[in-house]
Amino acid sequence: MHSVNAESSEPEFAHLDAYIAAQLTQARTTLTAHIDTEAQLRSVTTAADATADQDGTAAARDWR
Amino acid sequence: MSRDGFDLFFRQRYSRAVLLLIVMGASRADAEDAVQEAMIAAWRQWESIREPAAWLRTTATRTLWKNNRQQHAAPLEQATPQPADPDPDLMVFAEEQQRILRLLRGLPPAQRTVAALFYDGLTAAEIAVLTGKPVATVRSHLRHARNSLKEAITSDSLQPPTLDP
Repeated sequence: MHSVNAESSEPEFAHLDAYIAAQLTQARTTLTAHIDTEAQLRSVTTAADATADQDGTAAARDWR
Repeated sequence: MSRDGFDLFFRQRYSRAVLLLIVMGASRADAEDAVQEAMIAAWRQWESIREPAAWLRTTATRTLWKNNRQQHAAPLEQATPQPADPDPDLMVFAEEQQRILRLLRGLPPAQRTVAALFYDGLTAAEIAVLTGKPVATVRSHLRHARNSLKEAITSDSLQPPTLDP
């Protein structure tokens, strides 16, 4: 987060939008520092590979 | 299966997507579960996804709502979280970040969803597509949300000096 889009940004809320966007950007940085992204990436790709293997096995079984 | 670009996309977008769902009122655990589920689906369809960021935002949001409906009596998109004080889901964040997150998470459900998506960079038209609501309704929710946020921030003793020039 987060550059607020110009279309919806109205002058009366300009300061509010900029302030909240800045805080959310900092919050995202904070969260990133507390998440082991590489471990999550490995977990996701391993899980995706496992389900793909299961699908392949099921497909082969169904074909037979 | 080729997944050129997926690793970089994951590194750039994972935390952002988790934060979006936290702003929507999810616990950190539920947010991470939904984003992981969406990322697994993204990996498997990677070559056919044309706009990965938008795809992830939509899929993670809908996954969160689906999971929440299966686990709780009150769907997240209709319930306002009643966070403990201090809210364990927000303790990782700095004090001012927590304050803004609490204000966003405390909005009425429809306003909260619209505000979360708006501050993630979506237009009112894009939010209307994702939520299935008319654009006019989205704009109305957004205006009410910003009025509430502005009032809460400016009435707070910790108000930021930049808000009232």
